[in-house]
Amino acid sequence: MLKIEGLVKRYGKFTAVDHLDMEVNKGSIYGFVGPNGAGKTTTMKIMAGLLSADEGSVYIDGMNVSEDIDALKDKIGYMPDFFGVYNDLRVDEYMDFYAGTYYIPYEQRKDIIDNLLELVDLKDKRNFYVDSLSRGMKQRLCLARSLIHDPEILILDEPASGLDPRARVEMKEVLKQLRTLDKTIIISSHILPELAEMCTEIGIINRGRLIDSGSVNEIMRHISKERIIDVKVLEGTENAVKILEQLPEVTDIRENTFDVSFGCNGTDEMLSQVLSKLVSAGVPVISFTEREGNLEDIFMKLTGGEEDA
Amino acid sequence: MLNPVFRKDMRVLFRNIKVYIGLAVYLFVLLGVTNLILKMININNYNGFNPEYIMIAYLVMFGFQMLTLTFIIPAVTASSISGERERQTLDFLLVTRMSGWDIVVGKLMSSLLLVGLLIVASMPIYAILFYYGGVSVSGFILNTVFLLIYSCFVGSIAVFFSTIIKKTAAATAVSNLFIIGITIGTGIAVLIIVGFYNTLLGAGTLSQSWSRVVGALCIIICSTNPVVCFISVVDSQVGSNVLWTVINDLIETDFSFQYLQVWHFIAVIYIILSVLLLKLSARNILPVKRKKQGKHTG
Repeated sequence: MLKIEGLVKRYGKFTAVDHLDMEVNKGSIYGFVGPNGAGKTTTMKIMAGLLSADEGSVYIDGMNVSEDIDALKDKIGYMPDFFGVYNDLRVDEYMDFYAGTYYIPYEQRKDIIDNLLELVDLKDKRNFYVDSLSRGMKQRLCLARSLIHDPEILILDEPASGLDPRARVEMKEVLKQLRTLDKTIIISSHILPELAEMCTEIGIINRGRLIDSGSVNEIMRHISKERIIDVKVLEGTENAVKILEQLPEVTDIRENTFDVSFGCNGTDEMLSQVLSKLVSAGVPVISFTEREGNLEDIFMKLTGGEEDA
Repeated sequence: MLNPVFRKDMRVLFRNIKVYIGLAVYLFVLLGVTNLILKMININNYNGFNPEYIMIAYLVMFGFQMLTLTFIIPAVTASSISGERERQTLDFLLVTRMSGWDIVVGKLMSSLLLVGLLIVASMPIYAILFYYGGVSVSGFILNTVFLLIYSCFVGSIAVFFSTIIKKTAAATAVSNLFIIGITIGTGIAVLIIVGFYNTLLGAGTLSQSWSRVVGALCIIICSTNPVVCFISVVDSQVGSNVLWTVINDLIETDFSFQYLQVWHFIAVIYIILSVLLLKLSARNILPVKRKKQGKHTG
């Protein structure tokens, strides 16, 4: 769906994006993570056709953004990190204006606007002036605006930035709803654990370079080189520990009252064998789960604790 | 489909109380000027009055309207793009399907809407003069069309500066300075050209046949000058030939067109310059300059 090859963007002597290569598959929700000044916004602006690259190319569906942006405008929905609104317009007029900018016929607009306002939970505010909305509502309105032309790819640059905790939760709920729309979504945010919940893939950018990408668990494995498994047992954790200690692939065993955790460098097959050995030795296993990766941890490790948000 | 930017601006414009206050002030001043002129020409004298004075009154009012629009239009239009930039809404517009041309034309149309509003609202005041006769309705309509073309030119200048200057206040100031600059600058340029022409003619380097070229060149340069623009309207209304006479006197020839008046030339030049300025403005706001076919950056 989206492919970036050797992207470079310089502002004077400062290189904001430095030979960035990246690929986002169709239908995926891609979390774009990086500390402030890492090059996220610049990259997203280039993706949306709002900035020209000094080197490299961005392709969407095989078309080069810098050459075919007019043809790609229907496919791209973009929400910037900082934006303004037309305060003298009512919510439905605001949406109607943007429907007009995509030349959506008048007769189709009402249904589209109703559906989108319902999606972002602003249907009851349709006759309110934009000026009277809270910041969180404005952010959601802006999100609805970026969906007005039913784009295939949605580029959301820090959609929850500057929101209070409650507004963040509301925005998160709306973003979760977007998963059902079957769109390719690229989202950058500082709400890292929330991104981990909803993203199918993440890319970590620092100093204009993509450091790592993949699913949260894949990246966790790249970093820690070790998977952490939690085993919950009905009784007798000592027995489970005894068996695990005999297995060479198992490391760092920790015993608690009702569960045991251990590290493992092995593959899924190896983990399956570990579970078989525990069960065949009579350990009453209730659950055997790999611990979910925490995006915040990954982020801090990869960027060397440079996040300042 | 109506230009979306124009449709939105129109909605916002009519909601703005400042527009109604501004309109009221404008009409009040125009009415004051009209009243003053009518008093000066002693129109209510029972011994009668010279009907030619009505034409003078009309032209003074027209000149006043042109002068005020010359400063009102940049004040309104210079925020067209820079205002979107300051409000952080420009990026939203640029990612839509609207082309740069559609956006700048929509913005210019919004400004012209305000001009149209001022012109239409001032019509009852002009009607006072029609009551006394002396001004033809067809002449008034033609002058109004010309005023709209002139507004279009001034508006295009303001839109252009709005695309290259980030701050609205600075864009407004530069637009006004530019118009003052062309008023003075074109006058000086024409005097220099005529001086050169007469020197070369006197020295025998140029023949009299170049007079048409020099005359046309002077008209083209002068056409951007609001004062010349106003005189051309006076010429058309009074049936005089002030501009041709001045140019012919300057280049010592007899250069004129039988059916064409100077304002016809000026109107055409204004339209051409407006289109060029809007094209440049549309290009200026494009975030990514289109690359030539076949050029690969990768």
